[in-house]
Amino acid sequence: MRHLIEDELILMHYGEIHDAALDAHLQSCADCQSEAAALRRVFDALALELVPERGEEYAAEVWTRVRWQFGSSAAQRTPRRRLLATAAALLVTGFIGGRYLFNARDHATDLNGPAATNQLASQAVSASNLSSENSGNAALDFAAGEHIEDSTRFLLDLNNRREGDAVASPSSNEGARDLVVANRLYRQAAATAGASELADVLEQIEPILLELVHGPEELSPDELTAIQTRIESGELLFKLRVIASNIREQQKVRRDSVRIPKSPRDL
Amino acid sequence: MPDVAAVARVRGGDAEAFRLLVERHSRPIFRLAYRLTRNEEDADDVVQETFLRAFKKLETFDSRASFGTWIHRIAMNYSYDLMRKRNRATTEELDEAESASPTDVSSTHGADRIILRLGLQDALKKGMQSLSENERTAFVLRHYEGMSIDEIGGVLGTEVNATKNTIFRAVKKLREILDPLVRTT
Repeated sequence: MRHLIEDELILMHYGEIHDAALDAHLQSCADCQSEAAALRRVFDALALELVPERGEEYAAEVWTRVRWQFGSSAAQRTPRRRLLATAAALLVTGFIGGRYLFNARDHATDLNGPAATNQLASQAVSASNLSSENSGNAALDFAAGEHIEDSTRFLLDLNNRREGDAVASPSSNEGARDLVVANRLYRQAAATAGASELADVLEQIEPILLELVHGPEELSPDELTAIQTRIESGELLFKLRVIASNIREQQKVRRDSVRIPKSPRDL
Repeated sequence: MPDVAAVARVRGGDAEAFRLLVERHSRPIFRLAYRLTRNEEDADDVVQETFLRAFKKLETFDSRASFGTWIHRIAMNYSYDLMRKRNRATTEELDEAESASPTDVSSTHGADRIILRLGLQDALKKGMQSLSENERTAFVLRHYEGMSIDEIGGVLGTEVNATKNTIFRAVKKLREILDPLVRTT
């Protein structure tokens, strides 16, 4: 029988052909065995090319990044709608006035200062009687925290785009429109509550969001660069992360303070 | 839930069902994208963009086909779009660097010597870069992802024999680069 050609050895290596005659020849032919061994050495070397690991959590991260960009059909089924409703309800009832724990340690004075004595804050104090302080702050932190994280992802995605990448404007994206509306509500609420740092950051974000929502279908490289410059010069991502961190800290403090003992021994 | 059922649910308006497809395919897509782009950040971009494109184009997906094959094809196309943009910039930089270089290495050294100097990792990189887009995709899917020739043909849009020949060419090119090096180790 003739010797095996390289193509046959490749297919045999990958298990793409099963031919008894070819197998038998390979078993008995030193030349073909030598050729197969040489091929295997190359394949072994190729196995040394490593790929960075992505853990089990990677899929969840990808899903978080993409879900809000899916547009109206997806947005209607994501928690954003609920968060938006929460934001609106909190603002309308004045529930959060004077009670927003943006950073309790650094802003305790602010929360009891002049900003907390305005009309809306008065309404909030009255409204807060409808519920406990803990549940009110928890609801706000949950909703605002999600909004901050969504805004961070949105700006981060823009900031990571490079010239020449296709950058579809979210003008037709219901999720991004919700982001604008939610941002406005949280900004007003934060200002009312005297959470000036949060209000300031949201005020800086808002024009960017509005510009994108009302802008052209696709951003030009110059427009993209201009927006990235504004994000970076305003250190918006850094500020958002600090706020998100503060909110998480407050949530943790709240969780720890209301932890229910699992058994009498934990008391 | 099989992919086809998840796709049907998404088409029926349940966008959350798309999460299942993301969970199932994001890591294989990342591996493919990384091997094609050879850049971790780019690979993450490819994964995100691939799922966005898949969601937007889901109505065009033929349910009789494999969703995995279809989304690999989207990832491949976007990876090469990205690389072509990168390469334009890189080629310009290299042209400038070479024009400023006083010596031409390729004309004074044999291929074997260069490979020995580069080391195995660089040789692997050079080997993969020597492949055409289809050759690289076919080889990565066959060698690293264990896809069958049929499935790879589905990704590339080529017939069985053409797919095989693409893989054969890829292996030949890789051997030309790597053979001298693995013989010496």
